[in-house]
Amino acid sequence: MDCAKSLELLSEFRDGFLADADRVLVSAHLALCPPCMGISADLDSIVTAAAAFLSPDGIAFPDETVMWARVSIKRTVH
Amino acid sequence: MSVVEIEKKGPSDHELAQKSAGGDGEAFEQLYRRHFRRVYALCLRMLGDPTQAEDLTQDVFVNLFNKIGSFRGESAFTTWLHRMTVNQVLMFFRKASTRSELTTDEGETPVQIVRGTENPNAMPVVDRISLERAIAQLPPGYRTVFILHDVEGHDHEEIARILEVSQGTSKSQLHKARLKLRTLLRQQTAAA
Repeated sequence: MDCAKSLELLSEFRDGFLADADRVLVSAHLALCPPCMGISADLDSIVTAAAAFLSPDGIAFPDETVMWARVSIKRTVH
Repeated sequence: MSVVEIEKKGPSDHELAQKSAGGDGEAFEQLYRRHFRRVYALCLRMLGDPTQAEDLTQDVFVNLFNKIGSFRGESAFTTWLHRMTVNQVLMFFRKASTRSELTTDEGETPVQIVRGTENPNAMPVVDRISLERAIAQLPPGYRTVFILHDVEGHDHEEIARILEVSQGTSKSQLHKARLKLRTLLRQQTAAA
């Protein structure tokens, strides 16, 4: 397997969607190819960070009451 | 007090929805206060812009008010509202004539692998602010699939249903979104 094909399959590889044959080929390629292994590790970092992103920590929510007033006004206008 | 605790102590979402449909404004306000943060957070993640997220949150609740009578309780209220929110954002993308990457790859720069030029080490730990900034720069189509899959945890079957695309398209968009994010995050690191 070459780098281009490996790159194309990396997400499905990490998400566990590849058939056995392709999974083995990608795995073998990564073991021999540091650049592709680097990309694979980067994708892992992104996916891990994204999972933590769901937490509302760090989100500056607008004022709930002001927003409620906006919703109410728009409902009245409609 | 958490939303779950409020729901345990007060009427269920389904009960509030039924009362709202019957014209009970207080019940609708209770629903709003229970779900406002969840809806805003989803809008913000998908849009990447606080002002637009506020506008869309407002639109979602106005739409919810108009359609509350159609909620039959066949799915969880949160699932129903989640789908309504995603649809509202997608409608916004379409109205704004924002180029969607759900059907085209044009304009995307392919990732180049040149032996010896890639850093074999993994990226530094991706912090929330960097990721937030990078997600905001994604094309809307990529961003939507990435948020739904990697942040919200939907599988490709669900995403395909929500976005009315094939599962293959969902997988392809997700992969491209991740690669684009990687490029954006590396650019941020290089510029720092």
